Amino acid sequence: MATLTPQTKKELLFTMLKIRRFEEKITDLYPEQQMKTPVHLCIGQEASAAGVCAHLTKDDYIFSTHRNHGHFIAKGIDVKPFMAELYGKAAGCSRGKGGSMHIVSLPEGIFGASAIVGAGMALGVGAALAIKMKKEKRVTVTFFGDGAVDEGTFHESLNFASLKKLAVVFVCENNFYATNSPQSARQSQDNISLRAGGYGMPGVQLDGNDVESIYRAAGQAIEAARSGKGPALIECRTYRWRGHVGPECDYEKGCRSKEELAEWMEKCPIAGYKEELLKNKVITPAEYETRMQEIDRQINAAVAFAKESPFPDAGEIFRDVYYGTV
Amino acid sequence: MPWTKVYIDKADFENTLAKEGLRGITCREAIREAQEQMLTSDKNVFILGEGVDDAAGIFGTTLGLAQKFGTDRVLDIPVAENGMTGVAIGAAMAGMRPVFVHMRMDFLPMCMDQIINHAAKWCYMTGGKVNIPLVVRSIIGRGWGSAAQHSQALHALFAHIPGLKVVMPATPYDAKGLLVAALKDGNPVMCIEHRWTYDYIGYVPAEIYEVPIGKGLVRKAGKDVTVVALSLMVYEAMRADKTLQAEGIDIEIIDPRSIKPLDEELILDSVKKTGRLVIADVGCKTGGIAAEIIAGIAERTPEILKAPVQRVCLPDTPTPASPALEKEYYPQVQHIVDAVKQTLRTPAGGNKGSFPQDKFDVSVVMPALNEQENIQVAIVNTLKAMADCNIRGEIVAVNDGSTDKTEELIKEISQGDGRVRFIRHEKPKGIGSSFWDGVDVARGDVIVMLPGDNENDPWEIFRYFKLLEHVDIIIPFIFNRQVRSVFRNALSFVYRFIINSTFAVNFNYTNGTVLYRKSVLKELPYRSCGFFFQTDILVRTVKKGYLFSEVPYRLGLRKSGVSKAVSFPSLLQVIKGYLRLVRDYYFHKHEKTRTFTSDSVSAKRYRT
Repeated sequence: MATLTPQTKKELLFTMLKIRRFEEKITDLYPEQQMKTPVHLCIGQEASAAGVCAHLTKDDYIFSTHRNHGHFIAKGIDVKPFMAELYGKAAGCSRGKGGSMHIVSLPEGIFGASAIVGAGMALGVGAALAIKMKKEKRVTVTFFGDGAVDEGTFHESLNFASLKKLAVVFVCENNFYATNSPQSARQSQDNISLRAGGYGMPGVQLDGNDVESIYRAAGQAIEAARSGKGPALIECRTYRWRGHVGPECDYEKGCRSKEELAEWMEKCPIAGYKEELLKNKVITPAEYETRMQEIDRQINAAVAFAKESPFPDAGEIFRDVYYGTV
Repeated sequence: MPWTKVYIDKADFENTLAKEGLRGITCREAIREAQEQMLTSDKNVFILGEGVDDAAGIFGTTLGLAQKFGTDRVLDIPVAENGMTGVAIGAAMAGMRPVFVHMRMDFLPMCMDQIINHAAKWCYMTGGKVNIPLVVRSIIGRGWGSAAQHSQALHALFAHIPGLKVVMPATPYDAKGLLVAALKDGNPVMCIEHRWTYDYIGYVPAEIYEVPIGKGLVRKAGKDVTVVALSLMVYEAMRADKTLQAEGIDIEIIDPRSIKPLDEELILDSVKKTGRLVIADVGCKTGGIAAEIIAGIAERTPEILKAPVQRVCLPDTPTPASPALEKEYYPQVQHIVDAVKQTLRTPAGGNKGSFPQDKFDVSVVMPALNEQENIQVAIVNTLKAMADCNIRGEIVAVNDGSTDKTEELIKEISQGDGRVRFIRHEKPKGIGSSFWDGVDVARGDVIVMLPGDNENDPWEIFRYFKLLEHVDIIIPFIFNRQVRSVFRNALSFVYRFIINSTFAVNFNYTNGTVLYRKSVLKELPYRSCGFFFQTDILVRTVKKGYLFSEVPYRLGLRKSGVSKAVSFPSLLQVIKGYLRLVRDYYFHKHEKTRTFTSDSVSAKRYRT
């Protein structure tokens, strides 16, 4: 595959940075205890979201999990209603009834996210079935973790997507832990990408912190899906720096070793890439500063908006239980 | 009406409908036709399920559809119930309208994650941005040793989940109309069919039509006992009716058709009439829909029940296989007959005392017509005043046909406070009727009417409560008349003059928050229902010789809303009431005979 254009490289870097800054803003503000929602942060895992979503248009669909912030930011979501949702405000994208795990934004093809492990894959396959039935040119991408591979829906979804040759790309972010259970305690084989072969679809295992290789592999998979060649599975091996839920690191609690975390932080998907782009003069330090200021401005504006917005009134409890009623 | 009629055998159908040239088809044909017509009329509708395109065609309910619409729209699927439910939901998010068919309801537990955590919640979790127009058809089996995993009726499980709608048609007309309505609804709807209803015939129009979800139906009107029958039990209840009629027992059969939402009003109205209730369900007893129906009545108007309720349900066991055991397991017509008779066996006088009721000192009757701004404050103030004055009391709020949020606001309080109850008038009946209806359900020994407009200060009247040790009626008069307009005061003066001179009394004020001993009110031979009711009661009781006391009372300023007291219709009511009182007072002298109710202070005073 041809080398990436400087423009693409820049976009990949700044998408990752926007995700990183958004998540870091949450860790900064979380101790204020105003953001009363369980946050599942993706610091350390930004490359897969950026590399995959770079190929998607607004019309394409994306499904995610409880750890969805990165995916949706990469898909282009407006961070204002997003942040307001984290603060449980009426102006939140889900009117304060979804919280961090149930973010929605229809203009970007984000139908919502499921916090039940494995469920989003089936929903994504369903959206892809609709694409086929309506003879549209869209693609669906569904993100999930290594824990979801334990679920029956993983197999049910891959089988049906392959059976009907649906335009869906399965992206597994293997961070080696389901909450605190290591992959080795749950899976007899460390071969997630190979499972694709059982369903007759291409499967590839990637360094999940190498954004360019993810970009290339996702490009092929999405192009194939869009042209009717059927689904693919991409396994991105990466690592989450924070605990399963909340802003803290969890090695203090004994969930994993500090050394393991340090080793992965060395392999940060962003730091090395940024150095590389600066060194190769793809970006200048000045441009970097300008773009970072813009990212921080957007995120700070979103926080201010969220904090100033009113809470939903009590009547909101009874709204939207059923569609078509108030 | 042909579309409400239930035919329990084919000859029955042929004798009536067929003669009139109306089309009759079976339930299975009606379900098939609904799907065929929806596939034709809406290109986003598709059907998926294990075996939907096979030769048996889901007991005939999908026969020929795959041939007509192709296997792209009538999809046989992998045996992966949960994943495929997720697929159907995802497709629904992206604009499709799937019908997921399960040959056995017992397969639905496989799909619980997707139905409960996803389909039911999605609209809510996304703040209404994404709805899930999904229909899940499932079929309850029965007989031939189908046993514990091929004959379950799990409808109550789904009715428990907010966000789902649940329908259970019994007749061909409803089977088609509810399935069409479900497909057009936009929410996840569980269409639960009973296989044993499939061969019943009934009138079904050839065109597309909808039966509203959440609306029940009286299948047969009657006056003695209400029988709420679900799904297949509608037919069993119709059979029971034949037996019971022969014995002179007239049951009313209600088919709720939907269990979520449930047509509680229809059931309540029927039980108000009959006072006796039997529920025949196709599911197990504990935690079932029958229990929910009973709870609905127990919460609102337990006093209408004249006898303990009877449930005809499946026992709390899995379904056995042997025909000998099946025979014992399933309720038969005779069970319904016996249950109906059981409700009639309760001795006259009903079950008074079986619902423990607290004794109350005072019942505040609080009529309210469109008082959303005032009603909650009025209730809260009244409760506080009772506490302050050390009075055990209750409030009977009377929603006099409000079209605003008055009733919801009352409910909000009454749900958490047993001292607050309410009754409802569908249409405004006036302040007098509201008062009397409140008196009828009041549990207190003393009655006072405090309108829900919060204009009256309850402390002002409760502070005189102790005076009831000496009199039977406490009549307040306004000592701060300056808070009212000159016109209003003048009107009041003229009114008082007319009343006092006509009936030779000397009241300071007759339209206030009068405290009555309830027994005194119960004695009255006539109940004036308009704006004149208070004056009418006072004249009649005082003229009879009941002891009363007039007490000074401070009137507050009106805070919100518009008073309904001074208007042309109320003036007419007052004139009518006045003339009636004149007639009774001057031409029916016997009304003035001094007989007091035994627990009145007056009786004690005059007899000793």
